Amino acid sequence: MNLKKCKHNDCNNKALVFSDFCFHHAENIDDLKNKIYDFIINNKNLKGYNFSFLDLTNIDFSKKDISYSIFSRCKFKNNNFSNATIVSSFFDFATLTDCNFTKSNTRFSVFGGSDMENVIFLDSTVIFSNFLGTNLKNANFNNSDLRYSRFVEANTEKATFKNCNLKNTIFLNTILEKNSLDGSNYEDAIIIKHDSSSQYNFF
Amino acid sequence: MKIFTTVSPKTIFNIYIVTDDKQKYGVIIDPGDFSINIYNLVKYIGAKITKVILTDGQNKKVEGIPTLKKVYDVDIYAYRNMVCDYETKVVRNGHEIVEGDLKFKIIETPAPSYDSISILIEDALFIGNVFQTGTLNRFKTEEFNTPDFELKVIKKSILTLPEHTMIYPSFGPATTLEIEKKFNPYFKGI
Repeated sequence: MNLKKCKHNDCNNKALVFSDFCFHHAENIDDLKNKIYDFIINNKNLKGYNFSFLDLTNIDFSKKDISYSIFSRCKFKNNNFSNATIVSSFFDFATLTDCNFTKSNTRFSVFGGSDMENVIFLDSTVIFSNFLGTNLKNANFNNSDLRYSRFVEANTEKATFKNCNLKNTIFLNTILEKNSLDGSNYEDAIIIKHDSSSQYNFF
Repeated sequence: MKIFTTVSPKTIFNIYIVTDDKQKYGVIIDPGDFSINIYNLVKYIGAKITKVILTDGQNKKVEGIPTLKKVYDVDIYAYRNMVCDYETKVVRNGHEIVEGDLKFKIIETPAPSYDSISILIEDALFIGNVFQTGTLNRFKTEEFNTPDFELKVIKKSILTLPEHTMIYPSFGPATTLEIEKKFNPYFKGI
């Protein structure tokens, strides 16, 4: 994780990759964006870079090794992350629409506050990851290993976690739809809900 | 600065290594049982380990210190003056530990134990067991009432930091202060 700060006076944002400034203060932002897009497309390893606030629509991240990178408040649409490795990376408050993470390996990563719609994490490893307050609309986590990940205060609509390893996965104040955990070891998850009508209300 | 994370397979506690940009030197935060994970991670990073900082002195975080001291020539920084029979370099609120370009600022956060400290470096805060992502320092399933003292410590010493601060707890996933302020149910209304 490289945390170089934006050189603009009084700015607390981190500098974008290839720049001394953040997205908001970078000069020639269009040229910079094109340089960054080429860099992403042509490099398998994305380690320790800041891409915050960028629109990364349609870029193919499949099979890439994404580690210690920051995608805070990025826009992802129609992105392929299948078979990607994602370690210790931040996607907080990002929007992810029509994204495919099938067979990806995600660890220690942060998706808190993000909006996800039509997102597929099928057959994936998503462990020790943060989904606090994430809006999950039509999200498919089936057949995945979700150990130690946290879905605290997450909003789910047609989100499914079937046939998953949920050992120590935490659903706190998470609205879980009926049958959405079928086939999973939800007895090993930590499910806490104030609403006593929940199908999965264990505590 | 770079931050690397691994987990002790025995305790499931997070272990962090902070290095300079070129990975020449590094500092371990909470080495735990010094499992093979951390040894392999240090070898992979290639940095010379020069210091160890403990966010508190609980057994799970320090039991590997005797082995670690045999492998690396390191000083140990902690609130306590002795850990596993080794003398430490005692730190208190506002102290700064400097290693090359890395400057670690100590913030006393005496919750859940008197010797709990947090470590701020640039925009990253290592909070030990002060709280976990989305909760306090544990999941108390039977109650939502929280100890006032813990919340006071968090409010005074952590919630005052900038929202973009990245938070690395001893247990569970990383987070940011903005996420916690918005979605941690225990922080609502404080």
